[in-house]
This record gives sequence, C-alpha cells and structure tokens, in this order.
Amino acid sequence: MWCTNVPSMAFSLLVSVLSGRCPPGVKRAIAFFPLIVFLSAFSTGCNQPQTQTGPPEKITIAYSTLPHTTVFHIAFLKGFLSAEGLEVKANPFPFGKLALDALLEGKADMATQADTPVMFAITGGKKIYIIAQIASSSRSEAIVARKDRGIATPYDLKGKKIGVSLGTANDFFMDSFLTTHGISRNEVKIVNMTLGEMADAIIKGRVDAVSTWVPFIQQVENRLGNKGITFYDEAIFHEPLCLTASQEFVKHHPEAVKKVLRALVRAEKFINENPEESRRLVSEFIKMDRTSVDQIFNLFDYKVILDQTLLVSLEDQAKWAIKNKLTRARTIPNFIDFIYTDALKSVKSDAVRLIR
Amino acid sequence: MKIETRLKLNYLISLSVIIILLIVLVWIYRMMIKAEENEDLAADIRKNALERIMFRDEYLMTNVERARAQFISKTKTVDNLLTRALHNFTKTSDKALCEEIQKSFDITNTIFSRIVNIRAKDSNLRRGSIASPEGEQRLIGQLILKAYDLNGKIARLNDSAELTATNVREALVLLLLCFISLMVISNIYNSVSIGNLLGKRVKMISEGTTIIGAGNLGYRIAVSGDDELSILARQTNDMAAQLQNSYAALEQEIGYRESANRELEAFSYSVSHDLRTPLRAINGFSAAVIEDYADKLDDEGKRLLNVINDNAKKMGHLIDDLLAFSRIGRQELKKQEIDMHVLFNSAAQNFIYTVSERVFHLDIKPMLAAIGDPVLITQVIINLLSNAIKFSEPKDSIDIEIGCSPEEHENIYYVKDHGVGFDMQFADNLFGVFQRLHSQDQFEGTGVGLALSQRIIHRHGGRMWAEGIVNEGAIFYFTLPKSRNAE
Repeated sequence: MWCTNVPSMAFSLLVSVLSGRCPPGVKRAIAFFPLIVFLSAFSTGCNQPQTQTGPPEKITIAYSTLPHTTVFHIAFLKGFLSAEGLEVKANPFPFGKLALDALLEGKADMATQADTPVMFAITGGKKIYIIAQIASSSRSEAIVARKDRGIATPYDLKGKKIGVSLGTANDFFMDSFLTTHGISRNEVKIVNMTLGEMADAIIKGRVDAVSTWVPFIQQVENRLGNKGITFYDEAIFHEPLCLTASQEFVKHHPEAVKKVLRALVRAEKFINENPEESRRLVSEFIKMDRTSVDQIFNLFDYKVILDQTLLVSLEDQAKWAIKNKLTRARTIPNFIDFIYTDALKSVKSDAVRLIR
Repeated sequence: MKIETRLKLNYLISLSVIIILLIVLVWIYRMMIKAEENEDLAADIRKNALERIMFRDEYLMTNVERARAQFISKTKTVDNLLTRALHNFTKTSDKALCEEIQKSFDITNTIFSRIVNIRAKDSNLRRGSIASPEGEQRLIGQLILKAYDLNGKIARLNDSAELTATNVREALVLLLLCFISLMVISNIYNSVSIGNLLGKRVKMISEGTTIIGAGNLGYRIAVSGDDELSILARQTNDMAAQLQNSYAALEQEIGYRESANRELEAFSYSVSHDLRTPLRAINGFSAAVIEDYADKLDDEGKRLLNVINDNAKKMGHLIDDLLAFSRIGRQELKKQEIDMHVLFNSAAQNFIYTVSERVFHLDIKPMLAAIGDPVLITQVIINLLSNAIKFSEPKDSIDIEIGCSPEEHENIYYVKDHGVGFDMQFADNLFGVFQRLHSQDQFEGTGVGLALSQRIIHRHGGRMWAEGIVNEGAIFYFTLPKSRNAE
C-alpha cells in the first residue's frame, strides 16, 4: 500500500505541480518539502524494473521491420527488455505475417504482426495466444488509384483492375471498402500480387489501383505524383497490431511474458514522452528513411492494451475469410479463448478492457 | 542574536508557514474543485455515450425514426460535453485523450450516417449504387468496434479524472501533513534552541553570581553572544568589578584607620606611661614636703600640699585607666566557653565585704554560657557591679538583679540596680571616655569604666547599652555570642 499509493500520489503531485500551471513560487515552496521529495524518491525506487537475480532468460522474438511495431523496437533499443533480465534474440521480418510464420514454425517464441494473419492462424487451428495489442490504426490501409484511369471517387473503382495481396489485411480492407460502397468483388478485376510488386504494377499500368499498407502507400503515392489518388476509410477499418506467442510458450514461461510486457509498457511511456527521439531510433533501427517514418508514425496509436476492438476486428475478418473461403474454418472461433490477459493484467491492470 | 529577536523570528516563521499553508490550501482547493468538475464531466460523457449506444442499437434493430432522432439528440449532447471536456481538461495527456475521443466519436457518427444513408437508399449515393446488406453489416461491425474503442477511451478519461481528483485530495492531506510536520519540527527546533540557550546562559550567570556572592570579586562570568542574558552577565561582571574596586578602596581606608588607631593607642600609652614619672615625682616630693617640713608650714600650706598630693593621685588613677583602655585595643582575646553564672557570682563575692554595713540584696538569675575572654568579661562584670553598688549608695539598701535572656545568636546579659539612675537623654554620653553624668564629688570615678567595658564587649562582637530613670535605677545590658554547647 505504502509503496504503491503514497509515493505515486506524491510523485504525481510533484509532476503536476512542477510541470503544471501553478506559479513558480508555489512550485518552489512545494518542491522544497522534504517529505514529498523523500516520498517521490521512494516512489522512483519502487518503479524500477525487477532485479534480475539469476542468469538472463533467453527468448526469441520475431518482429516486422515496419513502424507499426515501434513499441517493440524501442523496448529492444532502449534496453528495457534486457533490464527485465531477458536476453532477447530479435529476428527481423519485412512483414508481420512472416514473423508469425516464424512463430508457428517454432523459430520464435513471440511475434509481432497485424490481426489479420493472427485471425488466419487461429481459424487455421494454430495454438497461439494474443498477449497484447501494441498499436492500432484506422489509416494503415488504403487504396491508391490512377486518376488517369478515370478514378476520382470510390465508386469509380467498379470494373477496374485492382492489385491486392490476397488473404492479407489489405485484401480485407479492399473488400470492406468495395462492399460498403456498393461494389461487389465480382464487379472488379482482382490481381493477386506481393506488396513489393504493387508500385511497379500501378506505375506501369498493369493495374488501375492497388490496395496496400503503409509504408507502401506512401511509396506508391510518391511515384505516381499528381496522377494518383488515395482512398482511406477510417470508418470501415481498424487494424490492431498484436504481440503473439505459442500457447505452449505462455504455459511454460508466464514470467517471461510478463517481463516482455513490462518492457513494452515502459516503451509505450517512452514513445509518448519522447516522440522525436522514438522516430529517430526507429528510423535507424528499421533502416527506413526519416521522411517515411515521419509520415507513418502518427498514423498509429501506440498503446499496450487488450480491448473489445480486437475481438470485433478478428470476428469481422473471420466472417469475411469464411465467406470468401480463405480459411478452412466454417464457423467463427471464440477468439477470446486465444487471448491471454493474465500477464497484462498483472503488469498494467487498467490496460485490459476485455470483457470475458 | 537576541532572545527577543529569536522569539520574533519564531513567530514570523510560524506566521509565514500558516500563510503559505493557507495559500497552498486555497490553490489545492481550487484544483480539487476543478478536478471534481472534470470527474463529473467525464462521468456525464460516459453515461450519455452509453445511452447513445442504446438508441443506436434500437435504431439498428428496429429502424424506427424516433430512435434515430433520439440518437442524434444524444449525439449532440455528447458532442457538447466533449467540447466542454476539450476546454476543461488541461493536463496534456487528458487533452490528447479528449481529442482522440472526439475523433473516434466523429468516426462513429460518420459510420452511423452511412448506415442511415444506405437504409434510406439515399440519392447521394452516386451512380445509383446501393450497398449490399453485407456492406451494411460490415459498417455495423465497424460501428460496434469504434464504439468499443470510443467507450474505452471515455473510460480512460473517466479513470484519469477520478485519479486526478483522488490525487488532489490525497495531495491535500499530504500537504497538510507536511505543513504540520514542518511547523512541529520548526517549533521543536526553536524551543530546543532557545531553551538550550536560556539554560546555558542562566546556569552560567547563576554559577557566576554564586561565586561572586561568596566573596570572589575577581571572578568574571564567561560571556558570549549578544542576547539579553549575555548583557545581564556583562552587567554582573561590571557590578563585580565595581564592588571589587570599592572593596579595595575600603580595605585601603580600613588599613589607614587601623594604622592611625595603632599610632593613637601607642601615643596614648606612651603619654600615659611617660606622665607617670613626673607625677610620681610630684606625689613623692609633695609627700616629702609634708612629712619633712610640716613644722615649717602653716595650715594653709599643709592643706594646699595635701590638695596637690590628692590631685596627683587622682591623675595617677586617670593615667592607669587610660593605660588600661589603650591596652584593651591591642590585647589579644583568648576566647573560650564561659560559665557566666560562675563569673557573675565570683565577681559579686568581691563586693559583699565592701558593703557589709549596708543592706545588700543581690539576685542572680539563671545564666546561659557564652563565648568570650573570661578575664576581660570579668572586668566588664566588675565594672557594672561596681557602678551599680556605687550609684545605689544614696539609697537605704542596695538591690541588684543580674539576669540573662537568649536571642538567636547571642545572649543578653543585664545588671539592674535601683540607684540614682540617669536621664535617658544623656544615655549616649554614658560610654564616652571621661564622660560623667554625675560630679566626682557625688560619685568617685574617672569616667573610663563604661567606655572600657563597651570596648571589651565590642571586641567580642557584642553590643552594650543602658536604660535608666532618674532616682529609680538603671539597667545595663551587654550581649555575647552564644556558647555552641548551649544551642
């Protein structure tokens, strides 16, 4: 009680007073109180990472080299993970789906990816747990189209050739976008391609539009220049970025999971308090030019949470996947069984807003 | 620093702490009011947002226009509350959260509008395209998702507002505790410091005055500081220095006087001694003339020679008394315990035979022992008894009473007669050398006896005085230190 209530109260008071709106004289007067100083110092002591007594625990995390997973990048770069007594082997992948594949193949203990590959893994019967959402965005997907192909509004996509990476989040976004604008999948020509092929495909005119993710949206926009038009739709899309682990790993390493989450929560705080430094670090870490990072960075909300939006998003995508026979599953699984809340509850209880 | 200044400083510190406390309390109170307003506002937003969801669901399920209108009305309410929240919440993180809530709220409005438009087959849908039921379902799914998101954010705002309010309330308590602690510490410190100072100074002055009072006028109190007690100590030192100077001057004066006395006594002695030789010659030769030339002298010549002889004898007595008087001043006292009863009794025995033809009544009351030189005190008693008998001679009988009464440190002895007495207005002359209240024709004597007696008593540290009534008698008193055995 002492360690959690009084010092945090004194600390928050000091923070609010010293960074707040009171006159400087009052600030100084209050800052002088030895008791508060003592309590805040005591409080700081309480918030330190847990002391590592044994050898570091080895853990492999597969992550995507996209700004989506900034929380992980910062936790790794700033040493928050090692401060928790973890020896992390970080395996980079260009996309989250590949990181999840590494997890499913047993090459990693944890992975970071968007919810779409997670949905496919769960409907495909894989035994994984979502440990936490580490970011979310409603503007991470978009359709970039060529205006010179007569596309000025979403409705103009009807009958056009659209490049998409089938079975991915941009496929789901495109499907939702078309559906909510009264266009069925049959009324467009879908061309399956990888994300890397999309820029060339639209520039060279092999397709009229592409449904793609950040940072490829910006790459295509930059290459098309004035010829391009981008359709975002925050109303129909919400993409949570997840940290996942195999159920087996969680069962045998619950403390390691907590340590990872504790480090990620510290990273979340660091990002919110130091956005500029975070951008610079991420830019250097994933070797992405600073301009692109700046364009993408603010599209995401970097919060380590577990909430209802994850469930609804997974269910929406599962419905879509089943309908379009993108998965062998015929019914929507109860995704709540694949979400592990215990660790986050113990690390940051108010971050869990999932109704079980 | 002066004690008065210290006390004033103490008072000022306490007053300052109280003023600061009041200012901080007012400031915290204002923060608390604001935090509670924000708490209420966040709760209001949460409540209205939930009611809005109920209207939304009712409309989505029933498609009733009334539910849609209520949804829109509730939307406006929430929108107004959010506008207020954006203005009221000033903490950076809360403000950012309010902006996020506003954004999520706007998105839910957009999605709802699109659903309404789809249902109304709104003509705004260009190219006449109509969304499929699946499209509406997809939008409803997203609407629910965004609503969860919105609700989550509102809940966070609510939690933050509650936490802020709780923190402010707890801060108030903490600050009060801090101020009270500060005041208590300050007061304890001041009390201890002033108490120590006072204790140290008072002890120093007390010790100093005790030593000086015991007679060590050269002692000086060690003084440090400039407070009132230090000033008092300095003044005490100054007073001791003055006393020391006065004492030295007095001692010097006493020295001079003692020296002068000794010279005077020596002079008196040598004069008295030297006078005896010519006087003896006068006396001897006048006697020789009477004896050897009596036949050649007529009666008048014989009478005159007898007068010369008598006066020479008187002068010899006077010189003897003077010698005795001057010796008393230089004689060493051999003090011891004296049984005064024995002393009075034996002295009285000497007179019994001299007055045998007269009625002599001597009453010796119980006596208390005293400290003194028995030889000298005997002389005093003989003098007093001799006087009492002498001045009672005109009466038919001689009645003398001798008594004693104890005082705290001394005994008073008295010799009472019923003789001729004396007039009290001349009482001071009784003890002067050669002072006489009666002529020598009436009563013999040189007028040195009482002066001598008084001097003896004074040398014993006692007093001597007399009371008398003409023709009724006199009482002579003297005091002597009490015997220790008598205490």
